Amino acid sequence: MAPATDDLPSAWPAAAALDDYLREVVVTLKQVVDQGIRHIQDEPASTDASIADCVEMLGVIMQGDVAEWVVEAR
Amino acid sequence: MSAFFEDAVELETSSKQDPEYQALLRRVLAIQADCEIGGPHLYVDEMLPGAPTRLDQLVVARTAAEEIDHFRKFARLAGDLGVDTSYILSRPNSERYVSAFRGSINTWQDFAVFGFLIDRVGRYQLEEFIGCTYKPLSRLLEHPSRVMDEEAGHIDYGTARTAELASAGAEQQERVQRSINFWYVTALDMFGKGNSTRAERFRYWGLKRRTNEEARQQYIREVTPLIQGMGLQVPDALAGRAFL
Repeated sequence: MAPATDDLPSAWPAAAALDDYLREVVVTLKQVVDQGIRHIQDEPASTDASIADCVEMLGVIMQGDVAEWVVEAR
Repeated sequence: MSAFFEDAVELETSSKQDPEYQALLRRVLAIQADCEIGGPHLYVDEMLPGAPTRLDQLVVARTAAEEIDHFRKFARLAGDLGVDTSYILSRPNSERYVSAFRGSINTWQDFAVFGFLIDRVGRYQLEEFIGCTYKPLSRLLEHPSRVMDEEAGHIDYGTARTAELASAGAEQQERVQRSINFWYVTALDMFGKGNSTRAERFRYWGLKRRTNEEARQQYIREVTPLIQGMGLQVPDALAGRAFL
C-alpha cells in the first residue's frame, strides 16, 4: 500500500534538481575519463583534451554554485 | 528485550520518530555528505594537474566523480528529510565537519596515503550504517552497493600506490613515511572520542553499531600489518592525537 503523502516529511525543494544535475555531471565525467583512458597509448593529445575537460567540469563542481545549477527548481 | 531501538524506519515514518532520532539522523547524513565531497576538495586542485602520469590524472578525476556521486546520494537522503546540504558544496575546507578534510593535498604521496588510510576509515564509517534502523540509508550500503564497491576501489588504489612509493628507494620511502605519520594520527582521530556520549546515542538509536573505540581498534589491527608489510613504521597510536 502506498504511504499517505501527509506522512512524508517536507523534502528540501531543490533536492531532486540537485540530484539530477549532479547525476548528469558524474555520468559525463566518467565518460570523459573512459575516453581518455582508451586513447592513452595511441593518441595522447586526445587524452590531454579529456583531462582538460575533467579539470573544467570538476572546477565547476568544486566552486559549488548550487543556486546557478538548480535555478529552475527554486 | 533489547535496550536499543530496533525499529525499521522508512522515510514515510521518519517524521513520527523521537526528535532525538530525527536530529541524529539529519546530522549523520549531513556529516557523511560533507565527508564525501570533502575528499575532492582536498585534492582536485593540485592532484588532477599534478598526478605523475596521464593515467593517474584520470584516476584522480574518476575518484572525484565517484565521491561526488556519493555526495549526491547522501544529499538526496538528507534532502528527502528536508535538510538542505547545498552549503556543503561551497564551504571552505577549513569549515568541514571532520578535521581530516580541512587542509589540502599537494603531493602524490599524500594522495596515495589518503586513499590507503583515510578512505579506509570512510569504509568503517559507511559499514556502521549497514543494517541500521533508517532503512533508506542501510539499503544504500547493503551488498551489492556501488558506494561500497567504489570506496573499496579507492582504498585499493591508495594502498597499491603507497606500497609502490615505499619500495621506490630510500628518499621516496622517507616521504611516504612522513605522509603515513600525518595521516595515521588523523585517521585514528576520525573515529572520535572513546567516551563520546553522542556516539552512544547513535548506537542507542541503531544508527551506528560499534563504539568509537571498537572501530578504532579494529582499524589499527587492519592497517598495522599493511604498513609493516610495506617496510614502513607504524606511528605511535597515542602521539599527537586530538581525540582519545
